[in-house]
Amino acid sequence: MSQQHTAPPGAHRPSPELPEPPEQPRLADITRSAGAPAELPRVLDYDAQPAALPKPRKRRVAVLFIALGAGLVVVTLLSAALGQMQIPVTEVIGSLCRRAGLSCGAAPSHPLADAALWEVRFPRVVLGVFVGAALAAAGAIMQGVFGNPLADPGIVGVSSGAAMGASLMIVTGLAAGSSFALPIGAFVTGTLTAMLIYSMARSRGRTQVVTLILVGVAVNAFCGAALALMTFAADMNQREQIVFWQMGSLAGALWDAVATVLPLLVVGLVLAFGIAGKLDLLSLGDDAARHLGVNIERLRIYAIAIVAVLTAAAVAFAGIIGFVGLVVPHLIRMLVGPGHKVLVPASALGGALLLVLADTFARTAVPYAELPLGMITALIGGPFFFILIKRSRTKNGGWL
Amino acid sequence: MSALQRLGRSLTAPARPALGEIVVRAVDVSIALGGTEIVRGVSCEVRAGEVLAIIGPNGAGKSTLLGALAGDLSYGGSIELEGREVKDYPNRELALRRAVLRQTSTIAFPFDVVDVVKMGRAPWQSITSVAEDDRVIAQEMLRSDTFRFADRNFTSLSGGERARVSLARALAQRTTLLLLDEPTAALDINYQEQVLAVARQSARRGNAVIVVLHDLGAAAAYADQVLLLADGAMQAAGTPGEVMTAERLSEVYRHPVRVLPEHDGSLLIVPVRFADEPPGDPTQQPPETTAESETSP
Repeated sequence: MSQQHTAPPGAHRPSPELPEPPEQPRLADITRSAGAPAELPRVLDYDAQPAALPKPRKRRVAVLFIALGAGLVVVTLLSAALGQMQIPVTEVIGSLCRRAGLSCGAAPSHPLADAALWEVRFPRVVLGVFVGAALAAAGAIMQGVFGNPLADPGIVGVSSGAAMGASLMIVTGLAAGSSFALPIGAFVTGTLTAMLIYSMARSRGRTQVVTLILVGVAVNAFCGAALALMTFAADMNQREQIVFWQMGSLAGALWDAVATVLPLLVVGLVLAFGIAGKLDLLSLGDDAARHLGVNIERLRIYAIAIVAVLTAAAVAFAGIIGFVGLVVPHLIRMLVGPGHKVLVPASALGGALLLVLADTFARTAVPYAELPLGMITALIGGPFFFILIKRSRTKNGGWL
Repeated sequence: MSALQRLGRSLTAPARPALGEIVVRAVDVSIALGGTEIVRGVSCEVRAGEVLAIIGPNGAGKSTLLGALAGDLSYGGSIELEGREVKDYPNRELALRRAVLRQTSTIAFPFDVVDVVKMGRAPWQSITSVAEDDRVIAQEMLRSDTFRFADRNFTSLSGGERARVSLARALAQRTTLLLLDEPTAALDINYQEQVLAVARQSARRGNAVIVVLHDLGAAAAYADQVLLLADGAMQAAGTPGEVMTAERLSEVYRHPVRVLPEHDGSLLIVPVRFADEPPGDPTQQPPETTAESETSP
């Protein structure tokens, strides 16, 4: 019997940094008269010998950021070089240098190379970077707000809500009048949809995944119908624009579009980074986050507005490109953990990288034809989503 | 905009009350949830240096009362924390003064244990230095014996380990008022005693601790005051010896309870156990036997 009371050797073996534990309290020491601190039984207390905390994964984070940054530079240069007109990377660098007033890189070998780069390729690549960053950052924030790795602007319907607003602008002809009409329309309906989803999917301070996905199904169905109606009502030119939109594409990107998206993206990313620390607390659940001083409702509404801004920035000119917001944050989380202060900027970089890569593939895979970008991201993202569902099922024993 | 306001409002660490000063004063508190009155007419005072245990049968309103004391639920009457009504505190000011440990501890994403405990320092951001925060975190992790698995994933821990990590997080908040909702429920005997001893030690160093407990013996041993709730009403309040009498506990819990004073002055509180059934033919079991076995704990 007494053998059961002695712990097996090594069961409570302290780690190297751990100071020797003080003596356990003896039964006789525990008396009701223990009022003064001096007479207290000894409990686990290491006040006198503070130990070093395990080091945060700073190296890993630094390596990730360097890898993502370098990868993004390489991929953007390659993306600018590849296409119907092959331009060597050295010439791409040379063209960039000439604009910057420097003399480096190679001179263009084709008379139209410079024009092709600056009027077609560069705006497209830059828009790809922006859209990818916006989508992935929006996905990371959304997952943090809902406390669920399956949340994504595309799946829950924010993207199609924003697409509806943008299509409305196209059909009413407002988009032809002002380059800001599209993003504003996308932003307004995107925000409204996000708020609707939020209010529908939450009950008693929790978001059930099933509810979230079901609300997403309903929202996507409704927005799909609205888009179909607008396609029906539109004239030929507008119709083409709308269809183009739903498939998602960066084709025909202009510097105007880049200039419109940039401020939305910058504002969205800066605000997103600002709330990143609080999103960590939110993962403890509503009550625990409130106990740590977070104003939950305000944070949620603020975060959803940020998601709407970022989604609008992405959707306004590129249309619906799904799964980037789902895949990228998940991969980053697997690499460096779920802390949002790293997750949000790393996801932005990763999203940019993935989208430029996907777009390069979309326009070079088939000669003289262009695959829709949304189709490619869905081809990668769909199976990934299955794996994610399967994993969360086996891990949590169901929908959790 | 709100970020600017937060920067402008420079927060400072709240002043610590002296030992014996009243930290929480609840007067005639009533709480209604969904139209039903769960708790009514509860009054209590907890001073710095004291542990108050809330005991009572299931559904007595213990956790609900704790929720109101934490500022989570709206309440009638008055709950003053350090002289100010709990519901009038801004969230962060409240987070600097009271920490809460709930029964369930879940997390949405796989954070490391050390990061979870670190979250307990969130209210102190820009009040204390990072070095100071790290010192507090290390201390509380050692105190709750979670330091050994500091870099493990919270989602990979057992229920008892999670409970201790959550305790470390609550303690890392370093608040004057500590609210614990059944902190010993998932723990083995060693940690049950350790956790309650840590809570009382925190009280002795100048804090107030309110703890909901099911273990009557532990409540008698570790609490200075006991509040006995039944059906949302206060049945008795006072020192463990005054409140926890055999007659009163037997009546409130609707089960005979024996209270035996030990030679060292502590109280041993044990329910009277059900008598064993003689083995019988399972096919001819009288219906009242099944009813009785259902009520046995």
